Amino acid sequence: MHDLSLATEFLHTVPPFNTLTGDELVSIARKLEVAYYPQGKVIFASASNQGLAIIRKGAVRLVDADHKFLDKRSEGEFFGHGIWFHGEKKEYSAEAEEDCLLWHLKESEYVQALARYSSLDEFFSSHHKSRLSAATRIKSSVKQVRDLLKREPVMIKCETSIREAARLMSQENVSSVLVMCNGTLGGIVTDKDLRQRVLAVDLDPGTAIEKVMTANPRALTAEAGVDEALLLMMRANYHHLPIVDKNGQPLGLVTAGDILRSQSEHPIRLVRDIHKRKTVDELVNLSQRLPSLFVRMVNLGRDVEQIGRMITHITDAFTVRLIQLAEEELGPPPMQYAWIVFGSQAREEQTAKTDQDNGMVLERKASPEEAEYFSKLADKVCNGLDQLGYVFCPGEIMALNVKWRVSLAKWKRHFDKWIESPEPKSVMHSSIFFDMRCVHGNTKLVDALLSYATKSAKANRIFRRFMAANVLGHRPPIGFFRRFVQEDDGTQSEGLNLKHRGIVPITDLVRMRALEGGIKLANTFDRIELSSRLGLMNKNDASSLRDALILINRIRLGYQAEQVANGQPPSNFVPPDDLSPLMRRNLKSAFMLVKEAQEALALRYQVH
Amino acid sequence: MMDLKTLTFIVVGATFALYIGIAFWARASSTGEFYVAGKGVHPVLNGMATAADWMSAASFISMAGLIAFLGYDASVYLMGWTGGYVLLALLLAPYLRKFGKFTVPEFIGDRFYSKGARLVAVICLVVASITYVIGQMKGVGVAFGRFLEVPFEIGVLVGMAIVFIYAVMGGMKGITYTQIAQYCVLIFAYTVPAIFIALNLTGNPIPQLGLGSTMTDGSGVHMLDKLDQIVTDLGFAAYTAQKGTTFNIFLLTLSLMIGTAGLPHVIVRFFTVPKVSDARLSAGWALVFIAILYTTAPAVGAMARLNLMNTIQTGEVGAADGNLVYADRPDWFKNWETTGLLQFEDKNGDGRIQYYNDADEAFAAKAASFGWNGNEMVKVDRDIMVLANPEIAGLPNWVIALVAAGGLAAALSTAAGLLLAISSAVSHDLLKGMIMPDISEKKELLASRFAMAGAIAVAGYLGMNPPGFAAQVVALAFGLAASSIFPALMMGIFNKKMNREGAIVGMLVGLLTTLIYIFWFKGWFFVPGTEMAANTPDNWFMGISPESFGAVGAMFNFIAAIIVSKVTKAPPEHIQHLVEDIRVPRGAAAAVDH
Amino acid sequence: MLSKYLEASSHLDVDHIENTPIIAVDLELTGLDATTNKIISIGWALIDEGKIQLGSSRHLLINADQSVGSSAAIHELLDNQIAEGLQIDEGLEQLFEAAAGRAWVFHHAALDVAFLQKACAGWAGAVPPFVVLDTMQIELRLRKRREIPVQQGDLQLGRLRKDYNLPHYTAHDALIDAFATAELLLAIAARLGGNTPLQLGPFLRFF
Repeated sequence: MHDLSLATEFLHTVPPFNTLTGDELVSIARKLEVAYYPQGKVIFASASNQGLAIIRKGAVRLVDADHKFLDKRSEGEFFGHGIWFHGEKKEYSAEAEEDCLLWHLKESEYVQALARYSSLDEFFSSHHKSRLSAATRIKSSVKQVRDLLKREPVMIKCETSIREAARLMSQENVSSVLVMCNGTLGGIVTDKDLRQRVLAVDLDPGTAIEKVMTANPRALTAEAGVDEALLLMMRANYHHLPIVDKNGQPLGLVTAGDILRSQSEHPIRLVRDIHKRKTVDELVNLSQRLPSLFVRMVNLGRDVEQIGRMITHITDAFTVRLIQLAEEELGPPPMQYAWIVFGSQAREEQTAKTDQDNGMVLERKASPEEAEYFSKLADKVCNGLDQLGYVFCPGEIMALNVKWRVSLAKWKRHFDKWIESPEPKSVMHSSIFFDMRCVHGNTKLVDALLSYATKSAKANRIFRRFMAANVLGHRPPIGFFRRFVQEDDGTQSEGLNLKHRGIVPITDLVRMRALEGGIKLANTFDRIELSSRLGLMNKNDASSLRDALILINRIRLGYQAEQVANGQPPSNFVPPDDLSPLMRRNLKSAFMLVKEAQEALALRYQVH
Repeated sequence: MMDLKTLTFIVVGATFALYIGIAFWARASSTGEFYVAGKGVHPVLNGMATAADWMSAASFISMAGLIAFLGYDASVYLMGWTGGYVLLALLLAPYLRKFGKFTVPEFIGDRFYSKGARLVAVICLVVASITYVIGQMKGVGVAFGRFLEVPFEIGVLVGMAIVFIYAVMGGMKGITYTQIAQYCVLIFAYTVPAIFIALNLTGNPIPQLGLGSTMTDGSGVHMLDKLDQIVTDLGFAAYTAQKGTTFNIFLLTLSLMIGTAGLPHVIVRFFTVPKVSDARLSAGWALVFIAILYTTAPAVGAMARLNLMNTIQTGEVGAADGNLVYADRPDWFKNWETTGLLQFEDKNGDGRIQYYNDADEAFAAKAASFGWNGNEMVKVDRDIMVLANPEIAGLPNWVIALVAAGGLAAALSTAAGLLLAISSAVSHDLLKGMIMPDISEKKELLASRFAMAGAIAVAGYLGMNPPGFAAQVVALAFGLAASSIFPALMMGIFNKKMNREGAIVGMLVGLLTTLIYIFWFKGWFFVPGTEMAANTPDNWFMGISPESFGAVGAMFNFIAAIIVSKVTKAPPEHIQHLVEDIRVPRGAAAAVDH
Repeated sequence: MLSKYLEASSHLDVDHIENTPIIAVDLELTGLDATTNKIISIGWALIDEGKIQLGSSRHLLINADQSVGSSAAIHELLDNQIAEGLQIDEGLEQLFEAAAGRAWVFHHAALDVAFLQKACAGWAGAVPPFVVLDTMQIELRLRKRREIPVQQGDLQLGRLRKDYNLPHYTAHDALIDAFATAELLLAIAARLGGNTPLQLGPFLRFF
């Protein structure tokens, strides 16, 4: 039935949606929400991850943080996504210049649409590319060829025979060797050289290698930018580039493949690749890209909020793909359900080290056969995630656990019980489950649960008092006389536990505000923003807390990126001696701020 | 043998170290792993913690003192406070819990959808709480004054400082195990001397039974008869006699009872237990633990009075050598004299102490014939009785030191709880909630500290100054709470048609009638000389004393609220539903879904 | 048949536009008289958290066992199309399932509600309660309060939409009209509510 013709007809006139088929447009139209904003109303302050808004009628002004005009968008145009203004990606806020009717695609749906339809991805990212100069400047200044070096270079002397050189190359499994003449780099020999200059002309393999090498190759120092290397290779059609230190001593080799691979580590691209894979093994291969992607994002100086969201989008994409694969194998689900995620994934705040917290919301109570289906589904997805490196949740908060694979009504009863009898275990559960998000299936089921849970928690201050007492269990590591308190994680030397004593207290404090205000958003930054806008939090308190979160997270992520880059498992412990005095001082202020916010919470709920 | 002062320092210091140690241990162990939940507290232990919160210096120090001097009539405090606890535990706490609110102002503000109503509730509670803190300050002052051997006023100042530090550090408060330790210390400190004395006087080690037993001096006389005889011989009213009218005593009990229900620091305790069934059990156990002290108090009071009288009146009344020679007075007498809470004036210059009721006209003639020239014990502060009791009875020093530690435990735990409630009400409910919604957290915290310091200063000042004044404020506070808050709470829970207008008018009517009645007999704003009538039973309306009028004010409150609510708009639908919901058991509502 | 709707409606908590679940409905009819004429199509769209959920909209054709007659000129539905439609009972069942726990919004509620009541009596043997927002009545009230004279035709859906700067839709398709009504409600609420979500309580009508 032409249920959505109203929407599809309009979308059909708007590029890039006009490239999609009718069915594809319907599937997008299904996700749209219609909202109306009268003239002068702020649609959102500071856009990041607002999804995509399509202007159906009216016009919208985009302004920057200082309220300076950036752009005007009108009927059939878009905003809400990342926009480059004059070569710079800026935070912007949007307000209705005229009465506006907007069609809105949520961030998660937008990312999925980009991943699914390459024409959309191209359109929205080509908007970026046309204004890319600023972006490349950032990249080249940050990313150095040093970061692409993978191994010690394979080197031979110039008098070595071709035979010996070939043997060494196959032994070391490399496609090129550097030739050293009189202690300096004299040339380079590649597979291609051996084919064209030796085999094709039937040269004696005993000949010295220097006869066939490319002499005096162009080399770059380790400090050179990746883009410089790419440019050089493209211009001269080199595939191998020696990298040397200041004294001309070789440090390694960079291949065109290395550079292209480093360029391909873009989250959106990864997400798209995920959706093209057809087996779990292929997904496992893709997941190998994650650590380097993480390191790269941190080193690129992306802000921590963005990193969290991007890493989470990738997790979401893996999850959704695993579910799709499982559904293909098991057949269509016997009823409507939703795959729900909790904790950091729900908050879109994942980092390098992460486990899975998930569950299923079923439309109704499952019959034994139906339960069997979902049990198999959960088994496939959770084990798949585990293989991908999202290890099992130590608290068993997973769809794998039959307790978290129940009907909406049962979920509601779980929340009722936690709220009515906030025993320690219930409170622990609450602090995880109140951050929830649907990643697959019928969103309505999760929306209904979320509305129910937030409403109940908002109404019950006694329950929130128990939550508050629990929040105070994670105190910042500041002891008497403002000294750092260090702990031992059992495997490493002592350090500051930045997660448990820095990040967790802040997310907990902010969750309290969300529960007080009935805020349904899960992301901590979003919650802070909304709390401050709703007057739950003083504006200055809100921005200080936000700054503290960013600061602690930046230190933590920087440290983790370093560990990942060195092939170590990422840890949440940072020895304070590894920090500069300035960073230590900033960290201390951030912790003091958290401490103060906790005291205010204690006062509010009369708990100590 | 260590001297008493050193021993007291050691015992008090050891108990404090215990509380702090528990607090540190509890806090250190609370930063656990993410998916590991802490353990709940057993209802029996929680009952102890609640009992510690409930039993203040007023219960520990003052109640037995009151009983010692007022005799039978003082039992209204026992009944009123116990009744108040039961009312709170059974009638209010379960419903407030269902409403999801743990402070009274919040409940009233939300239930009557009115900031005005909330404001009235905040003010009433702050006044009532400060009054309660006065009692704690007095207790702390008495204890410190005695054991530091300094005047009472200095003792209060020291106490103020310690209470402030204790409350600001806060950490020790609210940790259940600290509370349990405090209960153990205070109940031990209360009952041990009582057992010794009971054994001495009656041969029965259980004080509650000792009260009704015969004396061990071989006379075969019951202890209470003996006490009656001694006090009437000296012109005092018989110990067991009822002095007020039954109606007035009934109203006073009622006022204390409903005035107590709703005290913020205890209500909170009921909501620290996660499961409703456990909360009920805890409340029951708390009643048991409270009863241990409350049932001991009458025995302690009577025995203390008996020992005091026996110490001073060493022989036959009227005999030349029947009274204690001042120069021979025992050490405890001298020590209490330094605090200024016990004062002697040799009116007839015979060097002996005459302690009798010189206001009794019939006895005055007799006293004159003995050559007595008025009561020479010009000041005997009631609050010293519990602390002095073991000394008077000549018990070992460690028992005396223990009582000091117990008194401080009672005073500190209650004072800290109340001060936190006051500071939260002022900074959060009043400042953030009504006056400056956009206040920063830093300022909110600062405001709470100021509120705390302010409350301590006010309470300390009133504690030091004429105790008569403090008593008036107590009467006012209980009267106000009884006549304003309690009816609003009850109607909020049990009458779904009760609306904002009714509640506010009711509270104001209750408040004003009570206020005016108290001022009528005690002077406008207690300014002496502005009384409209003398504060004597003849002038009282239907023989109701101002202290007892709270219950009558509450009646007026109920009547006014119901009339106003009938003629004004019914409360919004959602409020009515809410009220219905909280009275229906949760299970029944859930059953409808299936 | 109506039990789920009744149960859910008893829990309906009408507060402000952003937390009240709403269903916007429009019917196409064979005529204007509820006693003799029939429903031939039903369209609806759901509003959650102040936003219309496009994916939730439905359009049902009803087999009315009655010729569309001259009304075909208005709604462009012909007898042979109608004949392929659902039985009215089935249509109502779907409608009331979607409407459970929601406030209804119509443009000119009296007419549509009368038809629905009649149809329900035949289907479920009972007339369920309707908690209704009527965009036409709300606008009429506003204009009266502001003492704006109301001419004939001023309160038509299309005219009002234009006043509120909403896009032009082809009228007289049940779904499009339901959708148009939903958008109009959002527009009115946004204008009236200013910076806070509009409280709906004062605008409710009960049938």
